[in-house]
Amino acid sequence: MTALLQIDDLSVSFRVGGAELHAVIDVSLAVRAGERVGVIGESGSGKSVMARSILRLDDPRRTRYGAGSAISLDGQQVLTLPDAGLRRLRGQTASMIFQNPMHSLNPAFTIGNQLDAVLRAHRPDSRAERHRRILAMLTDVDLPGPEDLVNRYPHELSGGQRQRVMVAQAVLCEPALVIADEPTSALDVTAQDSVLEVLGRLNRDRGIAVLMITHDMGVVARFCEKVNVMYGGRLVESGSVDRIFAAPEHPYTVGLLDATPNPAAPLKDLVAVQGTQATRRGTVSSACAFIDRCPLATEVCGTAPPLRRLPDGHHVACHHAGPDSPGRA
Amino acid sequence: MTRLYGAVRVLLILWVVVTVVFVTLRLTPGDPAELLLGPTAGRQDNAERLAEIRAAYGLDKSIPVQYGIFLGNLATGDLGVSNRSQRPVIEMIGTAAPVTIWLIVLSVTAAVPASILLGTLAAERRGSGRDATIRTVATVFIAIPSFWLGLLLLNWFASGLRWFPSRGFEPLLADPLAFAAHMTLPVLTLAIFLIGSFTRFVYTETADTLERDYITVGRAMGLSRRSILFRFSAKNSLTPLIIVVGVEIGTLIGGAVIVEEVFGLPGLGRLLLAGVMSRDYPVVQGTVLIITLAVILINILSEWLYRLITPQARA
Repeated sequence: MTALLQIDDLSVSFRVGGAELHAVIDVSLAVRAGERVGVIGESGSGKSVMARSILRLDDPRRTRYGAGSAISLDGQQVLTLPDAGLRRLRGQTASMIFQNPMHSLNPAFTIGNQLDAVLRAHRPDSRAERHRRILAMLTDVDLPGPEDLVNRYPHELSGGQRQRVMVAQAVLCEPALVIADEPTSALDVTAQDSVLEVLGRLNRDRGIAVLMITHDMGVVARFCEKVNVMYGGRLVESGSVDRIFAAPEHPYTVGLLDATPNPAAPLKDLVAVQGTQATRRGTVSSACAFIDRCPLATEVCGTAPPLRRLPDGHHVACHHAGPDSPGRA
Repeated sequence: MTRLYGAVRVLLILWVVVTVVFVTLRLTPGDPAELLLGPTAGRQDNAERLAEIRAAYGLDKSIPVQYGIFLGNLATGDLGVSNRSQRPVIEMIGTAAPVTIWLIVLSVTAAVPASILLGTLAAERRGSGRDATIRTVATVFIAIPSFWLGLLLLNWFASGLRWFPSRGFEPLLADPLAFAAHMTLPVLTLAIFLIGSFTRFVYTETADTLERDYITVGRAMGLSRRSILFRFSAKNSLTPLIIVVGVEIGTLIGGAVIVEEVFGLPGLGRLLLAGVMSRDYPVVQGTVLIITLAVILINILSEWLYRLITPQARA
């Protein structure tokens, strides 16, 4: 079975002040229909750029996709698709939810107006049909009083309400995939819960696949089946959520888990990952990206480790990981 | 309460303006009676005639008394009678105003869509050749002096090519074609300045709006380029243009004075200028009063419109 979303060797760079900034380097991942897949990493790990590339949202004048990069979405080659085809793909095959619901809605239009614009862009439905569909969708994301809500402006809504409007907008045209770029980061804990719950329900009831971009291991644990860990623009580990939480392989993943608060454990067990990410301007070092922060770093780490498949199907990019790791010899 | 305060403020502005005009007119050298009599005014045997004229127009009274009479008449809505034509000033303004109103309305109507298109296209590709070209043209349009551009257009299209008449005005209802022919060059002259000014405003606002997150969201949801630029973004970046148009009305009337003079259009600008030249006090005072009132009302109207369209301002 071919995947709904298949990213192969994706490299993305931007021209910034004369230098090339390598945001994403050789990332491959797949999302199958109906799956809930997470991408986790800290700020600057390249996870958001990777996510935006799926809909080719970055300014084409300053964005370069590496040779050999390919993104296949529902059988279409996103990176080479003409603009008209791309526009049909957006919102209809895959749509996106963004981090800050306070800025994601247009202040000059009512909620109903904005949702309607999306429907009109993709469907020939009559006005009454569209209206019915919008009301139904708002109800499905647990927003009460949709008849009143459609006439409201964004500034009249709370952050949690706005984010649920964004979810309703994202699934309005029944896409096969929703890319959620840190959808809960700007929300308080209760609003986070409700957004995750709504997304989970849409996934279960309608089979919409979700690619969850986050920096929060808690979100991954609660929401995802599979997870991809990104660091320094690269994929460093990927596999099932159960496997990663039970036995993380990459030292960065281990660090991330140690840095996740656990109410059951004493506070002193909460440890930050020391150091910062190396910049990726100009030429990228051939060493492992994590070398400066890694407690296990040895001489072999001078060459970047490829993503290896372990016997149980888990993937990791570290010389020191796995039962028969070259670094462990 | 606020409405009462607003009305008092408007009256206060009008009072200050007419007073300043009243005083400056009388401080300006040149005697209306002498100007009316012409070159023979200085002759000995005309002294009696001069005194008669002064008495007829109340110019023999002291300035404070004249001011009192003027304000008293204003309070009853009487703008007085022209020293020159003997016609009531309000009637002269009534004849001239449509010309100026047409000139301004047509210029703004032509300039607004053109500016929206140019400003938006430049903002869409910031830093590109298209952006640089449009913004250079806009700056040139602002920099060109209207009287010079007017003369240039007259020279090319009226005197040279003879496509348009060089002077005068024809009412729309009397002869629509002649109306259009007379208005084309004046409207073009005024519109070019406006396009320069509005385009730069639209550019700044649109460039700012296009950076917003909700624009990315719109693109991610598959909205077309056209609907993002001219609908989704436009409602945010163009509503402030209503205020700008209101503010520019004052400048525009100043521009109209020049354009009307160049193209011989019998509008308020020419009426005002002729009044100043002949020291026709009632005409100048009345015209300035009406223009001031118009500017104030248009600004109130544009602010009201802005508030009506902007949801946040309404709340």
